[in-house]
Amino acid sequence: MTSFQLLKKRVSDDRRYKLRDLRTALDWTVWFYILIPALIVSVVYYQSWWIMAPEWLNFVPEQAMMVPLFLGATWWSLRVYLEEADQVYILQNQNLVDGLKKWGMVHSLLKGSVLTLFSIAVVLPFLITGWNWGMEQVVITGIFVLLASWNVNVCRYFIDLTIQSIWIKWIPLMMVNVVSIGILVFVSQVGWKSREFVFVGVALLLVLLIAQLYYRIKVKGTFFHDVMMERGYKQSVTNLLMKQVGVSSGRTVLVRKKPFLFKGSKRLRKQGSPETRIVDLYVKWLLRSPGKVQYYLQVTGWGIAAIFLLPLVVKVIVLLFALYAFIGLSKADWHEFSERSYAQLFQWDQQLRELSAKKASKVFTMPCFILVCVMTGVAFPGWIGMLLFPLGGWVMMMGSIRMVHQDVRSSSPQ
Amino acid sequence: MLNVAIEEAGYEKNSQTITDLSFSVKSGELLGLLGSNGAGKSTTIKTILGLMKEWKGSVTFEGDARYAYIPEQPVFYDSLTLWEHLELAATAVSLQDGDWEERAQELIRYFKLGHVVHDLPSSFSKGMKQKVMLITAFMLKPDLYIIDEPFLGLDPRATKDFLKLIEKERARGAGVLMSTHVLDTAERICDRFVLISSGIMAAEGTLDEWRERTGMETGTLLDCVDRLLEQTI
Repeated sequence: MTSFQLLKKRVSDDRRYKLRDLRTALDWTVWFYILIPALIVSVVYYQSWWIMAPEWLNFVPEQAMMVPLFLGATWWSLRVYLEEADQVYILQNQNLVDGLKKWGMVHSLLKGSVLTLFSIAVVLPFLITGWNWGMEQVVITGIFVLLASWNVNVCRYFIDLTIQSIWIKWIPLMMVNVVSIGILVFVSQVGWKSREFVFVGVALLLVLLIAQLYYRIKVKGTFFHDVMMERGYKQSVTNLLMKQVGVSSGRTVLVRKKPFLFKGSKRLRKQGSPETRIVDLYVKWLLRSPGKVQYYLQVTGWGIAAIFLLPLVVKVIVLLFALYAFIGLSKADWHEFSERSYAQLFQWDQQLRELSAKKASKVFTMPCFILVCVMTGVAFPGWIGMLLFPLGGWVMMMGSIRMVHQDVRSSSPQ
Repeated sequence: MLNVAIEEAGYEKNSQTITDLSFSVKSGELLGLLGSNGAGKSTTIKTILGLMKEWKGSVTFEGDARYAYIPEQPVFYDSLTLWEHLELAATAVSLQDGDWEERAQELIRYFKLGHVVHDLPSSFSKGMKQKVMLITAFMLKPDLYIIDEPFLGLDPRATKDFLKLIEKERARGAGVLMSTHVLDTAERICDRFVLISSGIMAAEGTLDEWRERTGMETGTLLDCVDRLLEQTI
């Protein structure tokens, strides 16, 4: 089997795996009630933007469009399609491995090109109709977006490879993104007018890309890191749909030895009942899992943004949805914590388990939901909202938690 | 202490992995659960622990007997430290603070894990992980230990330490149900054995009883198991 054939097989396996996951989540009801209507509305809106730019575009600075354009164009990863079993079966064949890496990268770059084109197509009516960009300005900016997208994603790989801490990793990642967006803003506003700048800029970015790709092929000792990342990419849809359930937590190359929060196993509260201690351990477990905290932050952030942007009646619907989402997240997280394999090694005190479940469901739901309620109050016309929403939200939340607790009690193992 | 009478159990409906298994574990007794790969030992243990959905029969713990389970593959929370795992286990079964902390410290010293007590077990070696499983179980001082292949990943010294602790616990009155492939060790430490073959109970008894049954007066446990399995086929 040649490396190209191997890549074709792996890409198609990968696609099948993701499609299977998507099919599990997106049944006909989701298509019928959400996706198809959303698609039709989007197409109608898109067509109308070609005729007349939306009014809100007057409040958006032209330069700001580079941010969504950049984010859309870089929404892919540099993949090499290696698998764990390759250490036994193909790692001895250096040519095959190098070939697989090369084709994998070519495939990734092509995917990056398609995404860049798609992103440009999405913002094109704003650029042409809204800000009167000419074809030359669009094409030159597009070329730079494509080169930035390629370079940034190869660079992201090296950052991920060299920096273990997920918190420290954000610093160079942010820097790369900010610098790239800065370059794109400059190109789209001023740079595109100078032919010399365009040629030199494109040449430099191409040289940088070739140098990075060359180093990517030559760098040794990345096999286990690549395998770990590939596993993440392959299960990205599962992860998105089912939180971290689908991601194997097997041993990886870079394993954190000490927790990054609450080191030394210190208790959060020195005194407290047994259920308080269980809940404290649950809080530690959750706060040390950034992926889980991220969901609470996302619901809070998007909820607040939607409440400020949407009409009055929809604000209340968003509020109800936020409560539903927070309680659902809390319930799922507690279930994952209390039903984990380690928790099956001994017999829980059932009363303690129920009390802990009740407390745990409030820990994250309460601050997040009350914050969303307060923000709804602020967005509501008049002072009454400041009183009505936090108070009403509190009562509704306590009622919902009581209902969920009844459910947890009836479904918990005896 | 433990009475098991499983009519059938399996991972899917209408697909039984084990059928008609019955045995008991008495206080202070060590019962060895033997059988080849895929015979149904782990399924039996999972059924006893209540982890199987599809099963018929009865599993009863006498009185308020509490168990602790030591799995074949160590299991952990990715983001809790060794000490926090022990704290969770002790709190979940309502142990008093002073008692479990003292016992935990003692066991951590015994298994020489003092230097990693505030580390995440997911970073440990296989043997260290297995030791954490042992510490969790021994710290809880249960009435019954359910142990699945305890010797995998343990070095000879740790194996010896583990066996010493098991003897101590048996002297306290704890019962032990242990599934293992290591027959020479099982021969030395187990009081009785249950042999499972293709999901059914091929034999049950002491080594002397099995020697008599197989006609191998001086045979080892391995010899007897071999002969009994041949007879089953």
